[in-house]
Amino acid sequence: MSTDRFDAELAAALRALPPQKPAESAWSAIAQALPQAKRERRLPVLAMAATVCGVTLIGAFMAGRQARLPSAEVAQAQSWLEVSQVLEQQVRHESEQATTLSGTQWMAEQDLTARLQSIDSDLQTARGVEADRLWQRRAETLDVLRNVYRGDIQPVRLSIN
Amino acid sequence: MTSAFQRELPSQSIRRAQSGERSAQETLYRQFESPVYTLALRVLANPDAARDVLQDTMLQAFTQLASLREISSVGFWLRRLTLNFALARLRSRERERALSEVEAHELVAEGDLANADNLAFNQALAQLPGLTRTVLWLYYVEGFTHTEIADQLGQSVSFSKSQLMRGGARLRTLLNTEVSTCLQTALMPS
Repeated sequence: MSTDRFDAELAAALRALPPQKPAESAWSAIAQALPQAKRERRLPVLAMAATVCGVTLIGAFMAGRQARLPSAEVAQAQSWLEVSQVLEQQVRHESEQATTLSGTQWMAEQDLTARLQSIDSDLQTARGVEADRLWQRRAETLDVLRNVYRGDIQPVRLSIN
Repeated sequence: MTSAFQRELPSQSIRRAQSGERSAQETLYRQFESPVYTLALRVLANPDAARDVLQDTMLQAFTQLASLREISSVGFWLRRLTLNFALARLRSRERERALSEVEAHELVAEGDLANADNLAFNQALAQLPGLTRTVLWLYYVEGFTHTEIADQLGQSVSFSKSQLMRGGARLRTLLNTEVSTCLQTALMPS
C-alpha cells in the first residue's frame, strides 16, 4: 500500500469510527454538582495560591521580573509569591467588573485558567530553579488574564510540557 | 469535513441554558455528550478518564456560560474546553508513568466498541503516545490545521507534522504486523 493511499485510508478509518458515549450518562452528576460549582465560579485556581509552596528564589525573582512584567505593578513585591498575590487581586477585581465576555475573551479565560491549574499542580512538587521558573510563568499568566478581562487580548500559547 | 461539534442549536435554547434553566442545560448536554466524550476518549484512550473530562467540561461550560456574549459557536468552545481538560489530564498521566502496552489493551477493552474491527483499530490507536494520537485525531477528524494543532498543544508546527507522520508510520507498522488481519479489514474500503 502506498503512503498516500495509506494516509487517505487512515483518515477515512478514523472518521468512520463510531461516536462514543459514556456507559452511564454524566448528566445527573453534573446537575448535582452545578450549584456548588456556580458558587465557586471564576478562577477556582486562584484559591490554590496560598497552599502552593511558597519557597522562592529572591535573586532570580529580582533578575527576572523587570524583564517580564510591568514593573509598576510589582514594584513593592519581594517574591514571585507576592507578585502572584498582587496580580490575583487585580484579576479578581477585573473579573468581577467584566460581567459578560466576548467569545474570544471567554476562550482566553478558559485557556489561561487551565494553564494556571497546570502550573499550580506542578508547583506542588517543583523545587529550586524549576519552581522559580513556574512562579514566573504563573505571574505572567495572571498578567495576561487580567488584561483579558480588561479587553486586551494577546495571542496565548499553552504549553503542556 | 464536518466536526461533530459543529451543530446548529436554536439560540433561544442556548439563552435559556445561559440563564440557568436546567432542562435547557440538559438539552445542551445531550447534544454534546457524545462529541465531548469521543474527543476525550481519543486523546486519553481511557473511558473513565474521558467521562471525568466530560463532567469537568460540562460543569465548566454551564458555570461560565452566562458570561458568554457570542453563542453561535458554542460547539467549538466546548471542543476547546474539552481539549484543555483532556490535555491537562494527559500531561499529568504521562508525567506519572508511560502507558504500558498491556494497560492500553485493557483500557480499550473496556470501551464500548461496535465490533471487532473497531476494537483492533482502537487497540492500535491506544498504543500510540497520547500526543501523537491527539495530533492524528485533531488533523484527520476535527479538521485542525497544523498551525491550529501547534497552538493548541503549545508546540511547533513541525512538531505537529512530525507527529502526524510518525503516528501514521507507527499505525502502518501495527497494521502490517500485530493485528494485520483485523486492521486491514477495518481500513479496506467497503
